[in-house]
Amino acid sequence: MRVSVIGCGHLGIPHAAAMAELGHEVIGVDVDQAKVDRLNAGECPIYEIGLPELLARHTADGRLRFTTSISEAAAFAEVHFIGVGTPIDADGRSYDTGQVYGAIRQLAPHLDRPCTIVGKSTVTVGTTRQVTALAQRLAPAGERVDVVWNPEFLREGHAVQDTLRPDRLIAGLTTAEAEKTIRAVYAPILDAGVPLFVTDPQTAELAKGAANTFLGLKISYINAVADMCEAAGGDVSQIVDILGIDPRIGSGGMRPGIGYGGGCLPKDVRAFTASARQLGAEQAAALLRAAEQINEGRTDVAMDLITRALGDRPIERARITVWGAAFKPGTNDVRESPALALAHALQQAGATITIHDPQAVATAMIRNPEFDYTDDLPASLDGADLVVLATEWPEYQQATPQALVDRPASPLLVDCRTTLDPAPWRTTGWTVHQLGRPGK
Amino acid sequence: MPSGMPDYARLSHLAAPQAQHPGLTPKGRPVTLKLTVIGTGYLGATHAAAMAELGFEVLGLDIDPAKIAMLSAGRVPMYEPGLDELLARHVEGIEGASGRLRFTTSWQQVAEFGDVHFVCVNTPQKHGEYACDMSYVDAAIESLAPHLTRPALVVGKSTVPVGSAARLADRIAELAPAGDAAELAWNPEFLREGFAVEDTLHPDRIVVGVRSERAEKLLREVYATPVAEGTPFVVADYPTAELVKNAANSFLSTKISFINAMAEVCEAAGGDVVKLAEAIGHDERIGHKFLRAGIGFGGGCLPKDIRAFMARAGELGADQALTFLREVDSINMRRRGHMVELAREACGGGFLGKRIAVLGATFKPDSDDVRDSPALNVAGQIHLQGGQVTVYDPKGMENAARLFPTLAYAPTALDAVRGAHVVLHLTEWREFRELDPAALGEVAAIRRILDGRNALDPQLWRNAAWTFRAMGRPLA
Repeated sequence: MRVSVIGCGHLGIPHAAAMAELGHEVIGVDVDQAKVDRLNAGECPIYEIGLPELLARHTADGRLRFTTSISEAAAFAEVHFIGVGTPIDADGRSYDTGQVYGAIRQLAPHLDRPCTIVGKSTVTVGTTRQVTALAQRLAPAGERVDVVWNPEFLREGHAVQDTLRPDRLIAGLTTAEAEKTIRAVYAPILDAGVPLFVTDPQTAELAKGAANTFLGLKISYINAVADMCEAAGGDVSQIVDILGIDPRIGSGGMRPGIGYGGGCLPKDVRAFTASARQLGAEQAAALLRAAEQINEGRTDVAMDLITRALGDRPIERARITVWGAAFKPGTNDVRESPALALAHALQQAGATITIHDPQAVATAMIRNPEFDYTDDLPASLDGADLVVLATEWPEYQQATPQALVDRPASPLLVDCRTTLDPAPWRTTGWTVHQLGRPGK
Repeated sequence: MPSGMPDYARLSHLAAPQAQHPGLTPKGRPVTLKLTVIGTGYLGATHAAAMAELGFEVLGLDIDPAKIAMLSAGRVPMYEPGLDELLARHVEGIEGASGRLRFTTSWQQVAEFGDVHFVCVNTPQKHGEYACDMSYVDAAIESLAPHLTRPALVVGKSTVPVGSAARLADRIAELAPAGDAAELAWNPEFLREGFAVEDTLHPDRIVVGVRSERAEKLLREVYATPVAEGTPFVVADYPTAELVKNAANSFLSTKISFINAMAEVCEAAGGDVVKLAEAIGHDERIGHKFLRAGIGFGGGCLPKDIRAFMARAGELGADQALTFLREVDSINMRRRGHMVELAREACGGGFLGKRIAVLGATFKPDSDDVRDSPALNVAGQIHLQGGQVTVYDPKGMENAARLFPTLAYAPTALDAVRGAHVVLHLTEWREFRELDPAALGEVAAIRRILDGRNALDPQLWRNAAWTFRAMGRPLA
């Protein structure tokens, strides 16, 4: 099939490349000429495992190209995926769907034959109905333009894998033709056994927010348990392991530490909460707000632990190395990164900060130029009074404590992600504190 | 096989009665440890019978002589699938039984008999407070410890606030004549009512909070059979073992209240919470289990456990955990009120002069437990507001009638539905999924059903001309 992907960001690029991989002819559309040029040259502007190879392969074999011309995309494709960003509104609590409507306003006037618009962006419930009305009003093809909501569930760092082999697909639609189109465009994925849930557009819109909200809730829940462990003694990582055995719970996504971040979870939880409140589901909103508050309090919890670890050394004269800038390992995305929020709080308290990250130094430097950065792990420790592990990159778990112990001024490690095995660190002379394992 | 019951084929020892006496470990070593179980309620009776099934000689203690008389006759004071068979196989004096299981009311006998003492008494919610009532646990330790003249391991199984084990260990050290040779371990139970026998014989995991290698070794010996079958055996400290039970139950409560929160949103936005749950449950980090919207959780454990957890969080200054769980609790309690509202709407705005059939009284299927049952709570509220409520439940009628004697009870679902203006499905027994909507339609005054558990097939009922409405799916 011939498909277009409108919007070439964290969502659109992997989706376009994956559609080409499935055998479709794909045209990607973005307003940024420089980005389009880079993409056409097979260069990948975001860090995603497997994505550069996929882009290179399909820009070379001709199945994938990029343009700034939406009319070209309209003339070319029978399925149009909307993958533009829906950042958080100026009010900080709901989605700014301006780019979605903007894309529809530009695309629809060129739609003079039957086609399907497939929204992938995360949106407020009710958007599909309005987008449908708008598209059908503006398109010469009128009601022969179908709109489907098919929210993406990809995890950054796993975008290619999650797009080619998702856990499930959800399509919110209202016509039999639309369902046929969705089944055709995803045929290779469906043939591989991935379930497709066909439902109404409202449910599809809610599903994305609900899934991310649950994941946020799960993280806040285990962080509340970590606080209980801090207060009562106890070992949160052991609790995670034990809970993980229970099939009703599962340890997946249950990461105690300094909270969730990134471009999606915090925003989705906020927007979902706001939307629940607007709809009058006050109790639902209150629960989600409580989960948010736990997340917002994580920096303070980490600061307490660091202050305690420093003992009688004042934080305002401390040199602190922060390991990790990305909001989670496997990505260079630093949007709403808990690691950077912690670095900021430490700096506000008067500490001198050096940040190490294996991938995200460049992106972090743009957002937070006030810190010193390095991508050299041993050098990051030079002269430090304390190192805090803030993003659980495998590099830190694989580091050799023995080789690093002489670099800092004092070998004092605070593991805010509770992912290190402290034994080899301690036997080589490090003092280790882990959040949620006070007795360990 | 009856509704939703454990797979008895897995309970392989039930298939062919054992001949050996005393029992053998999986490696064929004779079992030498002698066990006691203190408290023979739902948890203790199951644990005692299961330990006998594993080959141990077991002495159960309860302070209630009536209960002891009943158990000694092989009768079970509650409905729990498979438990009566297990008792019949082991209680001394029953024909054909192994005789490995006996009961007493004497603390001295228990102390003299046992190498390992399991404390299985109840920790109910304190009247008028969130905290749990530790008096039964405290009393058990105070009664037992002074008799411990020989080496013994006391093993707490009850759900307790974190910090209790350390306190009780100190008490044992003070009171036991055996001194250091009398120890304490914490080994929280994770069994589910309705699956208690299976969960005790084949647990998902065994967690032991211990302070010594000796305690760990003893517990490994006790649980040698499930461990040999591959059950993970996790050794932890006291607080972790105490917290893990609170943590598990508060997570499950959170998950249920989350999906019920989603049901509220779906009600408002015109979505379908069942479809939504199917779709998001596919994420392995979420999972389908406990993701069914409805009238919420109840029973003797989840509500009291989250409240006790909140109370303890408050004492420890971990206040954020507290707010969070308060919302979980309040969403849950509101579901019951919401069901009453849906029923009122279905009755045209008021219950006066209306007949309401309630299917289900227990807090969940495969149990006769009606403690804090959402189903009975809804039935009671409607009754108090003037509705004529008739309840039917496959196993919970006796207990329900004791708690709510003013409700009417019918011997079958069909009888309950006879003449009803609306039918409420409030406990998801398999029997209700297998009802014939056409036959029920013959006797109902109005063919209108509200599914408070999202467990019935709407199509089936609509095909038989019923008006069907479920929670969280206004349009489906």
